[in-house]
Amino acid sequence: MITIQDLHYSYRRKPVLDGLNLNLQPGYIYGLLGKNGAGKSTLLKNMAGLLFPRQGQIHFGKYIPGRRDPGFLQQIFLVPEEFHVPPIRIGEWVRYQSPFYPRWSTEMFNRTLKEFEIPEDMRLSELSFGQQKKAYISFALSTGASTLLMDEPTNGLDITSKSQFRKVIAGSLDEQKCIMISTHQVKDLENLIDRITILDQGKILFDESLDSISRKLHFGVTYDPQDIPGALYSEPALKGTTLVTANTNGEDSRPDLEMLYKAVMQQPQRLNAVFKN
Amino acid sequence: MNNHFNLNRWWMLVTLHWVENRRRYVLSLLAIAGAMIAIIGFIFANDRHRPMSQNYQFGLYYTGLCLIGCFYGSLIFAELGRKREATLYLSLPASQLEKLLCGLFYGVIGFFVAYSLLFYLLDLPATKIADHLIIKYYWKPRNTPRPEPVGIYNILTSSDEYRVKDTIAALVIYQVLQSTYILGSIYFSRYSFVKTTLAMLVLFLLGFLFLTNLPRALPANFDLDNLFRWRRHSGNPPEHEWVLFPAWLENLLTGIITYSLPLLFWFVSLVRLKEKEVQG
Repeated sequence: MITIQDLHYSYRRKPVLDGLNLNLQPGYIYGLLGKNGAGKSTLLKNMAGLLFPRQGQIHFGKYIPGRRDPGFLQQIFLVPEEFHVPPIRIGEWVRYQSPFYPRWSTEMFNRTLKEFEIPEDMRLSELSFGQQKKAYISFALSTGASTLLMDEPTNGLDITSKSQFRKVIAGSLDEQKCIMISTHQVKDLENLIDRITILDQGKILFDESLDSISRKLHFGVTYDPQDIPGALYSEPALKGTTLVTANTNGEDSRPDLEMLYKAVMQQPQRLNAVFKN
Repeated sequence: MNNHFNLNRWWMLVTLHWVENRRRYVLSLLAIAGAMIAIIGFIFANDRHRPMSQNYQFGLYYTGLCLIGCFYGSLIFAELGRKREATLYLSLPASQLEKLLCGLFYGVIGFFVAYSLLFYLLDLPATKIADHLIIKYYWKPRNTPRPEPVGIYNILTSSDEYRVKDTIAALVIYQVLQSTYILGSIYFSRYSFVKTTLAMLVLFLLGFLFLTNLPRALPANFDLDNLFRWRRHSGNPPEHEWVLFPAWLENLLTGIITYSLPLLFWFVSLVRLKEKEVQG
C-alpha cells in the first residue's frame, strides 16, 4: 500500500528522518511511537504529501504523495495533532466537503458522531477542542480513505472519549484500510494496534507485529532479584519488579507497550536480536 | 480520473470557499462601503462647487481598487502560512491548478465585480446628490449657463480619450500589483502584505537603477529615448538619427511587458503552490 525507501528529511540543516524504510499493508493498525522530535509527525506529513522527501522515495500505489494528485488525496487522510475546522455548521461541512471524497459514507459519519456524542446542529467553531477532534476523526473515518494517518489523536480527549475512540477505530478497520496512529500515550493504543513501529533519531528502531512480540517476548513481574540481570528490561513496581524477557519457554503474556517502548529505547540491539533468532 | 483539472471539482472548491468565507466577505464589503461613504462625505464637505466630479470618481475607484484589491490579494493564500489551515487546504482532494484558479476566481474576478458593484451602488446616488446640490446652491447667478451634470464615471468606456488611456493604465497596474500580492501570499508565510511591498520596492529600485545606468553602457554617440528607441549622434554640427526596433517587434515586446506580468506571476504562484510544504 505505502512503500517508503531510504527516506531522508531535514528542516533546514537539521536532519529529522535519516534513511527510513517502511512498508504499510492494508488491514492493519500501526502504532508509531517515539520521543518528542523523533520524526513521527514529519514521517506522517511526508506520507500525506505535505512534506517532500529530501532523498529517497515514497510510493502509494501508482501515486507519489508529494505531487498531491486529487486521486491520491482521496485515498489518504491525515488527522494532525493541531487541526483547523472551518467556521461552519457540521451539516454544511459534510454537504460541501464530502463531495471531494467519492467513497464518502454519510451513514458512517452519523454513526460515529453519535458514538462520540457530538451535537450535529452546532457550528464546528462552537464545539470544545475535544469535540472538534472527535468530529474531525468522524469525518476522517467517513471519507472512505484507504489510509488514515493520525497524529496524537487522543491528545485532548477525556477518559470516556479515549475508550470511544478505541471502539470507533477498531470498528472501522477492514481489509482494504490501513491506519497508522502516532502517539506518546502508548496506553491509549493497547488492544488496538496490530504492529508497533518505534522511531528514534530519524530511523526505525523497532518494527514488529503484536503477534510476533507476544511470541518472542515475555512481560511479567518477579520477586526474585536473580531474574533481573537476564532481563531485557526491568523496573521496580509497587509489588516486585516488572520485567521484559525473551520468551524462551513459549509462555503467554500480554504485551505491555510502555515496558516494550522503554526496553527498545534502552536496549534496541539486544531486543532486535531476540526477533532475529 | 483527471488529476490536473476537473470543472466539477473546481466548482466544488468555489462553493466550499464561499460557504467558509461568506460571513467574512459580507462584513468586509460592509466595511469597504463604510469607508467609501466616509470618503464621499469628505469630498462633499471639501469641494462645494463641483463635488463628485469624474476626477474624484476616478481617484476614488482606482485608489480603492488598488489598495483593497492588493490587500485582499495578499490574503487569498494566507492560510498557507498557518500550519493548521495549510494542512486542511493542501490535503483537500483538488489539484493545485484548481486551487489556484479558485483563488483567482475570488481574488481577480469576484473582487473586481463586487468592488465595482459596491462603488456604483454608492456612486450613483452620490452623483445625483452632487448634481442636485450644484443646481440648488452653487448655480449663481441663475442667468449664467446651467452647470453640466458631473456624470457617472464609467470604468470600462469613457468619451474622454485622455481618461481612456488612464483607465487602461490603471487597470493594468492594478492587475500587475494584485498578481504580485497573490504570489506574495504564497511565497511569504507571514506578513505577506508588508514583505511583498518591501520586495516590490527593492525591485523598483533595481529597475530604476538599471534604466538610469543603461545609457552609460551604450556607445558614446548613443542615447536612449526609451528601451526600444535609441538616438545616434553623428557629424558636426551633430545630427540625430533614430535607431528603432521594427514597429511590430516594439509593439509585441511592449505588449508582452505590459500585459504578461500578471500571467507570469499567476504561473509562478502555481509553481510555488505545488512546492508548498507544511513545516513545523
